[in-house]
Amino acid sequence: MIVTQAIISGLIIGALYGLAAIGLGLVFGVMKYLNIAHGSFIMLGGYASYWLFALLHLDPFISLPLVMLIMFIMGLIFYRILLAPLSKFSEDLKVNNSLLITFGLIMVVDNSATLLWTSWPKSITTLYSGAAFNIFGIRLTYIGLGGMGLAIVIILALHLFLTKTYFGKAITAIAQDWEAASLMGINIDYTYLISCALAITLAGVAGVLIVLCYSVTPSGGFSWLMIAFIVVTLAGMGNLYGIFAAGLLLGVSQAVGSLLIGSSYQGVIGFAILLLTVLFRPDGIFTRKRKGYAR
Amino acid sequence: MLKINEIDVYYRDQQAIWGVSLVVEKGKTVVLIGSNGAGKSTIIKAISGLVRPAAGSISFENNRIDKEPVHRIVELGISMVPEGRRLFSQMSVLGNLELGSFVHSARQVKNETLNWIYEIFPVLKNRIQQVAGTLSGGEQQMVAIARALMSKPKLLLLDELSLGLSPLVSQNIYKMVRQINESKRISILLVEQNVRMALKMADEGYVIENGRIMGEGKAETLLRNPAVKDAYFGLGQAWR
Repeated sequence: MIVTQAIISGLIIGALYGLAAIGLGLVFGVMKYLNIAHGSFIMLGGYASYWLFALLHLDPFISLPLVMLIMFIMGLIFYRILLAPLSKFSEDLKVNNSLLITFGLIMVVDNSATLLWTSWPKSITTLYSGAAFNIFGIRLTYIGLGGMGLAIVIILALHLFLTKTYFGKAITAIAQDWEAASLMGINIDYTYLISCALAITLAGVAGVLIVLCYSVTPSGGFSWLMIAFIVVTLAGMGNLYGIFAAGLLLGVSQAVGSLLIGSSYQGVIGFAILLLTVLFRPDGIFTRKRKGYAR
Repeated sequence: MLKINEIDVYYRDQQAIWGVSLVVEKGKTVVLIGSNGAGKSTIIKAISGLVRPAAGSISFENNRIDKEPVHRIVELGISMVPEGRRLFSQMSVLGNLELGSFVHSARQVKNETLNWIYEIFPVLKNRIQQVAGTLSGGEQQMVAIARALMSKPKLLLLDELSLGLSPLVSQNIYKMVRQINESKRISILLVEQNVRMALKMADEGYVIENGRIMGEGKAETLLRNPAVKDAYFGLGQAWR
């Protein structure tokens, strides 16, 4: 029973991991920018929700569309000002330079957050926080379930967007070969702009769930960045579909692992999985083996 | 229809193209011949906007296009089959073709265009759900051409279609290209290593060497030109 409970809570947190990572995967896999300020954007989403709750008394699930809109606009600005100037560089220069730029952005965002919200952890306590029910002896919190439901809905929506709309297909095409994609008449710059804004929006949604389930601090983005990195690596760079599965895998193995060897080893479990993946399946666990085919 | 006027193209500080001018008229097939690294592909890339000329101008139907972004040039009606095909290899054949019709005006007539493409490339009809990367080289080249046609181009740029294909397969592909040119009066500008095959199907040809135009004329005249024979038919001549 304890193990089942661990697996269930692992799945719930794993869905959140997937959500936290998908924006990082989108920006890296499609645009080849390494946005290490991703965790800081997650935190900003949490703070936005916190502010709307503290100042306007809006329930986080109700203010979610508003937070998403704020984050979307933030993503547009972020791309236009910081990432777009790098677009003329080759792939490896793009990775290096975006890493430097977003590292600087971490400093700015984290310190601004300290000024605005102090360094104390902030969290949202609603009437239903902590409320839970039992099914077959397994304890489930409403927030946990709601968060998981939200994560699933968003991932499904993203999946439909990527496979059913022309714009989504353009994103997938760019991830495979941007030059060939541009020869199809796809406006690369515009697609990058919207993808980046979408990625930041998804980071914001993860932040809302984090401020509900845990808390946000100005420097807390870094640990979420690490989790997002592990998940994206497990899924395989550029493999958006594997990210949700990789998040669930990480969540469950952390939950079950900490049950077996103690919760202080939770971080170690994540990095151990990462290490094993990089050693034995460097392309990621959830990628199909590459065909021997020259592009 | 397409008019290139005295363009220079650089790769960083290395000049690749020197004052090249050429014309493609409506419904004509024009071939660029020349040895490896002569700059044929660079000219084609300059038209589609993948590289930018430093001097000179390129105009298409009397609009200057050399400053337009790549996607805009596709919208205007120039479609390119890049060297090495560059398919979206993890997508299905249909997925590739659908992306070909990304341009707004092409989306509305997507199904008609698809039917026309099945007429030219009947093989593709059975392969439509297959992942593009698993097709044979010849079939992949057909998908690449079909994908370029999905945008309903007025001018088709073809870069080294026969690369990596057996002579028989490439001959077959060129037969289909001929058909495309004749059935819809789509102008074609192609770059080809196999000079004899290319000149046989083209109306006009330009000889490119070291980034400059060394000769031009009707394809059949070039085919009989002793200098061209000497330079490009080489062994083939002896074997004949």
